[in-house]
Parts: sequence; C-alpha cells; structure tokens
Amino acid sequence: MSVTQIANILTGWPGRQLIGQVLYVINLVTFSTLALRDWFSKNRVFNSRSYSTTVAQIIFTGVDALPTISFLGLATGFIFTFRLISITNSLGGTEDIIDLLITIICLSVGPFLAAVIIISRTGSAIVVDLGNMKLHGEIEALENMGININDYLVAPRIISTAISQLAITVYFTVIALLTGILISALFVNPSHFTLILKISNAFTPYLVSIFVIKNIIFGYVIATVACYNGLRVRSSATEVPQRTTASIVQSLSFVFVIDSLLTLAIFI
Amino acid sequence: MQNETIIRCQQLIPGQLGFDYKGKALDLELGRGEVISIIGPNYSGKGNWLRTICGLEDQSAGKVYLEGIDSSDISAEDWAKIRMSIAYLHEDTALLSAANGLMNVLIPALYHRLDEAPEKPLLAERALNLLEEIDPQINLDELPAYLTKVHQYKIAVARALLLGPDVLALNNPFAHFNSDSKHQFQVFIENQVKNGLSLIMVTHDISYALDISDKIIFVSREDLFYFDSKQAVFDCDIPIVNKFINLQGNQVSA
Repeated sequence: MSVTQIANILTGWPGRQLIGQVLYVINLVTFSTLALRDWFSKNRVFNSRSYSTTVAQIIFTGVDALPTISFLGLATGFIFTFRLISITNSLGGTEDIIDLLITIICLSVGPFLAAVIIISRTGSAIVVDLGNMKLHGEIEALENMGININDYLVAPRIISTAISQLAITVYFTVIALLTGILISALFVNPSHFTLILKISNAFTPYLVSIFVIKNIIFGYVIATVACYNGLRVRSSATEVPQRTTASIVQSLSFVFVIDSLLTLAIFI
Repeated sequence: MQNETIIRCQQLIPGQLGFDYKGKALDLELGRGEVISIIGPNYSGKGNWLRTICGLEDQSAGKVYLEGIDSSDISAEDWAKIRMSIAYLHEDTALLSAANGLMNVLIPALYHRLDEAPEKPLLAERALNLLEEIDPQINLDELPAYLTKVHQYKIAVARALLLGPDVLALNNPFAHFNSDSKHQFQVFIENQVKNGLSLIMVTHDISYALDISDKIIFVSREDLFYFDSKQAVFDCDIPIVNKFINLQGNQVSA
C-alpha cells in the first residue's frame, strides 16, 4: 500500500472515524487523570464529603445490585457452569474442567456480565445524575462556591465503580461456580463437589492479579465514560437521554475491546 | 472598617456583553461593609458586569483584583478561597436536588472542611441559627423540588453565608419575593451588612438600591455612570438616567 493510499484512507471516512475514536480515548484518559489528580491532590480519601460520596456510590453500585447479581449468578451457574462440567465430563476430559471454569466463568463471563450490569444500572444512573445536575445549574452553583467538580463528583464515582465492579464480580463468580458445581454434583456425579477445592487451589496469584486488574479497568472505564457523557450535557433536556444512550454504547464497546486485548495479552 | 478593599476593578469591560459596547470602562473599589448597586434598563448587560466584577466571566479589557489577587492569574487553591469569600448568587441559583434543605446549606461548608476549624465547631448549629434568622418557616427536611422559589433562594443565601464570605454578590435577588417577604429578606441583608458583609447587587428594585447603596453604577448598552449617593442620581442631568428613573414611576422618590 502506497503512502498516497494510506493518506487517502486516513483522510476518508474510515480515517476520520479512527482519528475521532483515538481522540475520544485521549479525551477520556485526560478527563479521568485530571479527576484523580484533583482527588489525590486534595488528600480527600477520608474527607467527610468526598468519602461519603464514594461510600454512597459503592452502596448503590455494589450493595443495591446484589439481588440482580445473585439471580444472574444462579442463572449463569445453571446455564454455563453446569453445562461446561456436564459436557467436559461426558467427553471424558475431567482434567480440563478446572481450566475451563477458570478461563470461561472466572476470567470471561463473570467480569463481562458484571460489567454489563454496571453499565446498564450504574453507568446510566451516573449520566442522568450528572446530566441533570449540569442542566439545572447545580454544577455551576457548586463551582461558584469553590467546589472542585472533579474532586467532589467525578473521582468518587470512578473509584467506587471500579471497587464495586471488582466486588460484584467476585460475588457473581462465586455464585455462578457454586451453583453449577452443586447442580452437577447432585445430578451428574457427586465427586464434582471436589471441584470447589480444586478451583480454589488452582487460582494462582497470577490469575488473581489478572482477575483484579481486568475488573478494575472495566469499572474505571465504565464510570469515566458515564461521567464524561454526563458532564457533556449543556442546555437541553433532550441531551440527557442522548448522552445516556451514547454512554451505554460506548461503555459496551470499550468493554469488548478491552476484554479482547486483555485476552490476547494473557493467552498469546 | 471600610478601608480594606476586597474587589478592585481597573478599566474593566466585560468580554461577554453580547453587543458592541463603546462606553466607559469600570473603575471600582469595594471595601468591607460597603454596598454597591448596579442599576439600568433591561438587556443592558448588568449581569455580565456583575459576573465579570466577581471574576466569573472574562473581561475584554482591564483588570479585576479579588482579595488582592489578579483574576487572570489565580491558582486553583486561591480560586477556591476566593469563591468562598466572594459569594455570587443569581435569582435561580440551583440547590443540590438530591439533598434536603439543611444538607444543601452544610455540604459546601463540609467540603471546605469548615467543620474541622478549631474556632468553628458545631457547623450544623451555626447553619440552623442562620436559617432561623433568614426564615424560620423553611422546611429543612424537604428536597428543593418541594420548596417554594423564595425558600430555595433563602437556602442558597444561607449556604453562601455559612462559608463566611466577605462579599455577597446578588444578581436580581428579589425576583421571587412578594412585598412582605421581600421586606423581611431586605432587613436580613441589611443586618448582614451592618455586621461587616460587603454587598454588590444588580436589582430592579431601584428604590431599595438607592436607599441602601454607598455607590450606584448606572449601566446602559452605550455607557455607564457612577453615583456616590441617591441624591446624586436625582440631581444628575444625564438624559438616559433621568428617563430610567422617571420610568420607575412612584417606586422611587427623592
């Protein structure tokens, strides 16, 4: 491909889209970095207001989502874990069950489904919340009183969503694994009860690190995209649903891309 | 008491007037306990002048010094302090919709850690006293959406005052008041001024502005004029000022 052809592609529609996406990612990284810088520079980790904002967000994102997460964990345990164990068992590859469960349930399905729940529940709520605050002049009023929006509104949401993503994925994964193993032990082979112990032993520090990093990145990105879109609302009420939709679509896209890149990095 | 200059403007012209302004630039000093009113016809950019004086809008010319600091060269740390000491409120200043009346007053003070200052304990008690003084009828447990505009505005004023400002900058402060409630609020504001608070306001209540102000600035789309007393406004022979005062009818009397 000649230089002219490359230049034509870059200046054409695909090129513009690519450049737009790259610039958008740079915007998001800058936005979240500034927010965290303001948060840490003010040393407000345990300050009464920022701390309570963070805790409130963790309760909304993590604790209040537990019934939904529990239900999805049970369903995933039945649909994925139980079937994986059954199929692998019928194929005679019992040695591979542990690897399959860790790779598919713990490192792929668990974080991904938890991310989808956080995107649809917390991400959309953050956009609507910040969008309406912007629309009604609440953010302007806070700024006029010397309150740093990054420190007070953005950073606590990013940090708490990252923590919540990790926590609910742990909870979700444990339920999904236990449910599948219990069902297969009851209906297929009672020896499958030992899988619980084998899985816990197979979780090396390396796999735990991957699990933690992946979930924290998911939560961080979801909250960053949501806050960024919420604060882009300017003066019309119609912008709030538009920004919410954009945030959901963008977050899902980022989660897919990050998941793919991490999978490539880990398994290749 | 009035020697300390809190806001100083030199040859100031706002940058966002929205029309071509060819008149005089503003030279202004606001001392402690002083009252300055900006009056003039509708759509003459009074709000822009006020916001520029407070450092909230860019100027196209001149300088603004807030607490002695050039507004064009303010660090983030100084910015937070200045915004606490120069409280700007317009008639529809928004409250936090997710917090009740009392929390709306407390949140900014808590954010700025005023509850940790050794000489200022019992922040909530001070907030309650302030709200009691401004209007004992406000239902502090309700969310702002369930409060009247007047109560919302009074909460916004209490919220700003709890931060201990040197200057209260009010843009059209009496827009939502009826005559009775307006009088009560004006008495409250006058008491704050007697206690050393400086006041700069844009208002359509010309009679009140002329009565209370140490300096009066008349702003039109073409020019601005300074007056140092109510009598100076009535004695002037500037046609646009005379016309404006006459249009206020029986509201204003010398």
